[in-house]
Amino acid sequence: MAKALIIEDNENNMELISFILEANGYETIKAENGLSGVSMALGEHPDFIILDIQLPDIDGLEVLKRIREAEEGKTVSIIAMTSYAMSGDKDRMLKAGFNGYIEKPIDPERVIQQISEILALSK
Amino acid sequence: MKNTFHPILQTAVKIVLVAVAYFLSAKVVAPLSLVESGSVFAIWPPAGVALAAFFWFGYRAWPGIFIGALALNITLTPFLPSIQIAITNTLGPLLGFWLLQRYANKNIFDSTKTMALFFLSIIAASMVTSFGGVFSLWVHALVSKTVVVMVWTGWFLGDLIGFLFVTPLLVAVRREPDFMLRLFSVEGISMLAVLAATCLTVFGPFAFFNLVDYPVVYFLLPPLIWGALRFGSTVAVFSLFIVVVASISGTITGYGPFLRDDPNQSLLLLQSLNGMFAITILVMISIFRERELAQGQLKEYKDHLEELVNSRTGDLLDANKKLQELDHLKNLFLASISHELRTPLNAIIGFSGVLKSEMAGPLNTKQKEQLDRINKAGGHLLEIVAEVLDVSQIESGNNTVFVEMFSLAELISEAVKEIEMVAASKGLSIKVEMERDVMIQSDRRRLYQCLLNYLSNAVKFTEKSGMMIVRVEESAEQIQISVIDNGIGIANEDQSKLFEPFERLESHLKVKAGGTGLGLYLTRKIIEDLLDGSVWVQSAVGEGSTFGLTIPKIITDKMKKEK
Repeated sequence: MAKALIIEDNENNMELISFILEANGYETIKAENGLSGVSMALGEHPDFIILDIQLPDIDGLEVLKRIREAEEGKTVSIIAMTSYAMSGDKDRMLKAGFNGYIEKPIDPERVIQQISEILALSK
Repeated sequence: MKNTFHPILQTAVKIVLVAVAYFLSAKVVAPLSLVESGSVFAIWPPAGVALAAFFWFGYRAWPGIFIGALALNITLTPFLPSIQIAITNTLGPLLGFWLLQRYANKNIFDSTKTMALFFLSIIAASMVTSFGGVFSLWVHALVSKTVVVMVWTGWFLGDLIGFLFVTPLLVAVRREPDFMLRLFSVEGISMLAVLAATCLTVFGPFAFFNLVDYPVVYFLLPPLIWGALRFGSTVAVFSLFIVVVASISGTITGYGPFLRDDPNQSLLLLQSLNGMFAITILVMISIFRERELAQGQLKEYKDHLEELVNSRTGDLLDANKKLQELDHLKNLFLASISHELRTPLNAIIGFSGVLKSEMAGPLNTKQKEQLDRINKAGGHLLEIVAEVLDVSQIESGNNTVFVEMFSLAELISEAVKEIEMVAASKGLSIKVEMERDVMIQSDRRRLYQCLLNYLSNAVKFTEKSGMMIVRVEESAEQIQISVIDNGIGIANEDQSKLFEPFERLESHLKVKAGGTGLGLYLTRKIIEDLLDGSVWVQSAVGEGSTFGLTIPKIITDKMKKEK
């Protein structure tokens, strides 16, 4: 059973994405801010990470950077999930080192497929 | 500055001053009498002094004139006619002054109109003094019937010349007491020298030929005009005065072109020519002054205008700055509010979607249908929020364009794929007509957004079992994408409004459409403002519509910087 770390400060979004993942057979662990997200990413060895960009302490790009800097975080798949629906954002995210990008609002019926595709590509 | 004199004392001094001036000005020309009667002169300066006295001191000057005139005549005629003559000699200038005050009410030199009024006023004044004076003499049998007309003529002309030469000089000197300073220059002295030399030549004893036969007096015009042109009104009337003094002195002493056997003839000639010179120069001065004043006003107006423009420009800049600040605030507000709106909307859409998909358990048909409504309404609201944000960002001009190289065919198939499900549910088929793939350099996301907008509109407004075509045409530097449907079409008069904000067309469309009213406007703004292209529409009611967009294949960075 694949383990997903969700780093998301908004309670509703956390409940939504974790429910969908759990309903589809994933194990989830949760972090509500950037710093605890980084420590869980490095300490609990998730198979992939769903990372919000707007976070209360350090932003998603900084979280990504800190995880990638550590030896344990070099290979884990990290998917950005955000409502930053701006031109070029997707490109910017991928360039920054995310394995994939999912735009909010997520489509519950498609999100699992989107995640699987990203994970398959980053293998 | 405080005047130490008591006002009454001041007035008294002024009256005495006027009386003395009047008296002395008469005594100055006493040796110049041309007519044996002794009371008529080639020029009668007291008349000019009297009128000037009113200009200097106002109506209060009249007792001075009266006293001066009385003192003068009492030595020449018996008492009663002297009184009468003094009265009419005061009334004449008074009438002249009153006329000028009533109708001109400003400096006589300042316009041709006031100068003309000056001439009319002194004619009226001379009429009063000459008729009054001659009448008094005649009533008291001091003038014989045979010479009365000649005496009147001499009196009238003498007074008129007096007014014509003396009043302008005194009025001008009052306004510009230091006018002589103007002449302290090479040009000023040259002008005076030429004038003096001409006067001496024409009226002096140095003539080389018989001057009477030739119109040599006209030699005086050039220096007079010189003075008027270059040194202003005061110098001009001063020069005129020099000419009149020289002409009278010369004629009296037996020189100059006016010498005739009959002294009356000499007098008449002299007065005619002097009068003509005076009128010519005075009119000329008034024309110069009029022009000078107009130019001054124009310049003042121009300077003021510049000032006005500057201050208005400043106001506008301030206002503009405020507007920019407000606009910035508006955009901040819109950006933050749309973020705040989006977060709860994501939850609404997400959870209704989860429930609808029965991940959390089975639902009955009604529940499913109602959740679908919540989900769709949320989606619609999110679309509105996104479009409002987009529009506000594009309108404020702070929207960055993300230019990248991409495959147009891929972009189109992605968009078609996105809309295909909805289209299929209405029984619509979508066909792409594209000869070859084109790599273009533009903002992929923006172009996708516009294409999707056209496609979803086409789906919305096409009835069941319709047919849609996405056609791509390519030219050397541009590509044109048209989305063609065989839907309900749009009336001609409505087509121009389509791309305006919140322009929802009338009729049943409204009900069915359910868009934001911003979609096509946003598309136009994106294509025109961000992608340097253009949008267009062709449609016929009942036959369908074609929405098109034309954009350059390559947006250069340079082009974007210019925006």
